[in-house]
Amino acid sequence: MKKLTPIYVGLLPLAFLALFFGYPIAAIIGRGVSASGLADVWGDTGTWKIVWFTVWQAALSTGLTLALAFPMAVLLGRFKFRGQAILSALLIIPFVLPTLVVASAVLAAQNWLGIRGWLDNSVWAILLAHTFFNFALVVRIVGGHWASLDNRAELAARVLGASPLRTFFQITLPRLKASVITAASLTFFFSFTSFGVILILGGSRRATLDTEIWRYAISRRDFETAAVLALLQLLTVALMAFFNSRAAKSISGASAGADSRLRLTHKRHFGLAGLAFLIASVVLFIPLISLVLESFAPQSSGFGLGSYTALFDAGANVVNLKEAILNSLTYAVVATAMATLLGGLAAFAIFSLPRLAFFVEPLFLIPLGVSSVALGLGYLISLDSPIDLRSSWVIVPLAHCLIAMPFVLRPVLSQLRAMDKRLRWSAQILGANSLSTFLRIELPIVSRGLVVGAGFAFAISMGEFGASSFLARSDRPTIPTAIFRLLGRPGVLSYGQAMALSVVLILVLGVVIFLIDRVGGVRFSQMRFGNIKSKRNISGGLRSGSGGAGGDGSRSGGAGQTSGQLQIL
Amino acid sequence: MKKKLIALSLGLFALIFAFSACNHSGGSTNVNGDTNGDTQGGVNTDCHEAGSPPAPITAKQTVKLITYDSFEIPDKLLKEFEAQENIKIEIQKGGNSGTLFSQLVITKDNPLADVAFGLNNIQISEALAQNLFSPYLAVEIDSVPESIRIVGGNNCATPINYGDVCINFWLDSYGAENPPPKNLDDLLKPEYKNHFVTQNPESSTPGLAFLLATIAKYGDSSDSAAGWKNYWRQLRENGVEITSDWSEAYFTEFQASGGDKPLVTSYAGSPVASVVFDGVETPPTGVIKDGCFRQVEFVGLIRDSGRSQEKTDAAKRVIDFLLSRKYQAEIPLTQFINPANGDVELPEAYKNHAVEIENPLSLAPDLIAEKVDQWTDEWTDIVLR
Repeated sequence: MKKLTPIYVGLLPLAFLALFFGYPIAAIIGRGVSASGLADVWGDTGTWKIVWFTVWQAALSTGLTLALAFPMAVLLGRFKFRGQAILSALLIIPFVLPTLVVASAVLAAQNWLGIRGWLDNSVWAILLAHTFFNFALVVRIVGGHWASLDNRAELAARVLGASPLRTFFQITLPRLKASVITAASLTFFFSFTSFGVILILGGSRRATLDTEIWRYAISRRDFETAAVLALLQLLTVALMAFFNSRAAKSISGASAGADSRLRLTHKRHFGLAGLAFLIASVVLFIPLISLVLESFAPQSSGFGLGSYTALFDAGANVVNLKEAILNSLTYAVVATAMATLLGGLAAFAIFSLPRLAFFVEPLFLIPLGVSSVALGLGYLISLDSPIDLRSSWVIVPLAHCLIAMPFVLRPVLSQLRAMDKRLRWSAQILGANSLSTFLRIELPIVSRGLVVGAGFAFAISMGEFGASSFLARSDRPTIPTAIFRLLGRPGVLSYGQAMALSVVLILVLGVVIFLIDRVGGVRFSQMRFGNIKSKRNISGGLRSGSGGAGGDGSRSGGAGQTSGQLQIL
Repeated sequence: MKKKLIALSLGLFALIFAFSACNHSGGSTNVNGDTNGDTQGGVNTDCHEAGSPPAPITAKQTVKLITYDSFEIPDKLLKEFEAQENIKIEIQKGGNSGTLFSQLVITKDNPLADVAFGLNNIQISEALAQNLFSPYLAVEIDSVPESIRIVGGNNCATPINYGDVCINFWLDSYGAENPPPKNLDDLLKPEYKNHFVTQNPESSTPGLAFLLATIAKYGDSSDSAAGWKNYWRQLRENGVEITSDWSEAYFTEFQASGGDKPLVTSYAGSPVASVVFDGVETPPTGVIKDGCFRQVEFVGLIRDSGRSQEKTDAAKRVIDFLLSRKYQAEIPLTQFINPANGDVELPEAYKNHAVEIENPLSLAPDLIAEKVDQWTDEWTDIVLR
């Protein structure tokens, strides 16, 4: 019976997925799809034009993001330097900012710089925006993987006379393949389904599957066509998810070694750092800085704190700042707790039942890529009984949890996969039952993965607006909804307040993520989807029999604790 | 054993999926196919009835009011009503008015709320054809001017406010030498080349209202070289800029906000908003009075056969409240549009700065419902492709 536990553990997240994703999506698709509708949409050349644009813009966005983020991934993955933690925390912020806010800030920056117009309505605006939003994914996944690689193979190649370039292409790149593919396919995933970016920056001229689903369902109430398109999207996304899961799985096969990250010493290193910063400045920091500047001097009016004081002014009746922050935090805490629990459980179940993994793991990724319009409307026609959840506030954190789960599942799963199985065996030989093996071996090992996932989940929940705007919510303002309300009315002050509130959002996010990272003791090399570091430390501890005897003194927290507990065992 | 369990859990997932698909495919006819046949008879008969007046509320009732995101009501006023009437109003927000409409349509078999506020005269005809609302004649309905009520005495929707979508201009960009355009024709003149930004009618309500204004003014013709199509072709040649929504047009393209377009599609009340929010004496923007399209927003009692009489009565009181002088008096300075109730005294700030539009353009709601999708498709071909 012991062997069956994973099934039961796994059923909970699976049931969650079935109930809050499978069921609503099936309901909305089932309601609209008919044979004739399928034939109509299938036979329409317009559909295939849209699919084609959706695919090629996502492919180009992915290529561009990989290219532009690579130097930063190298810098953070290969080197250690002061301020690394802050830099890497800063990088995650674009990932969660509402599109409209960023678009406004970028356009404002263009006005200031007098370069307005050259990006207008071109596909470049879309590509750059996708780069902006997905930059952190590539840096964290590829850089994190790289940081964990043993560099002895590279050293050997160099000693044998290979040039640095050749070493990179023949040794390093093949070893990074798995994480490059994972990062690329996730970026593709997000670019494939980005909604606000296309709507705002596409200059109304570009349509993707997501915007078309929105157009038919919301603008025309033609649920039939929308359902067919949603089905088409679901199938494409499912395919991509399976592909992505397979790629991600092979990350865990990487070898682990001593911390071989370098200090920035060589001229070349500074060249690289310079390049990485230059790109990051253009792609990321200019939009962020212009956002901050706009909040202090909205629309080129005088510099001052007016926007901020207005936020705190109770007389301005639109935004109750305290309430919005409290609501946002509440939603985020609930969503994070659920996502961490369910994502963690799912990871354990998938890990214990490798044959199930092929089918189940990608399932958790699918909600990320499916139109939130379709999901929102699906909720309305499916979650009405036995309990009518449709307009309860709970529905918002539920939706956030759905999007956040894969961000917990991934790092936990790759940590589990990288775990030295001998640890469990040893524990069991020494008489530990499965519960105490779980509590004392597996849980501590994945704790960092959980923390990383929780950080992502929290950030996603705090910043998310797109998906929740299609739900019928009970009226509780959150920071993003307050920003949108402010942007919905005229006046320089409203605009300034919206920008100021965005800065508040960034600050709250920054503080919380910093705290989560602190509590979890996470360093950059561990902040990614595949953490292998712990493996070496723990096996080191096991072999030497002394607590926290891992070769690298820089990480005494989590890993040392694990080996310590092993001794107690 | 393990294989069996894997199969079992796969099966479970597939089953749930299949079950829900079947479960709902039966309902599809309600949303799509049958709507016309089903409602034509129903609507026209009972929407002309007055709807019974509400009985006094004895036990406390909760009424769900679904509306769009930007709906605002002063907290104090709400609390006062709730205490006085023994009714709790639970406000639900369902995105913008487009999303709200979709949600109402797709949930009409099992409604989300009791009262819906925020559908406008562009949408209302389809909403009535979909049979979304039950008839009710609000207490103060006689104070609502005939011009904004639904033609033909339809009692299934009650007007709450109206505003005009007009072109706004940035005062500093124009003067005695170079006056702002006076009407829609002027927008085609070379001196206003690249001056104008408006919104995509597919994604934006004011954008759609402006398109309808041009259709009302220049006429609908199948000939693409005539009527509104011809107008828009010329407008495109004269460098009209299109954004996806109002915020983007107003806050990034319009000169008032540091952009480079001195003309934008907005509301007649937008200048008042700058005065109220920014505390300036005179607004920095003006309104072009010609070529405005009047937008009326309605409230409706959602049709729901499963609702108790008590709750229905409470819902009717909420509709009365929304048309009452107390709430209506708040509309001008929170939403910068006109209250539907003609007995309301307008606040000074509004009276001083709001522009009154005397002859707004309009189109029959039935015609809009019939043609709007075709028009936006044609518009997209002409302006964006």
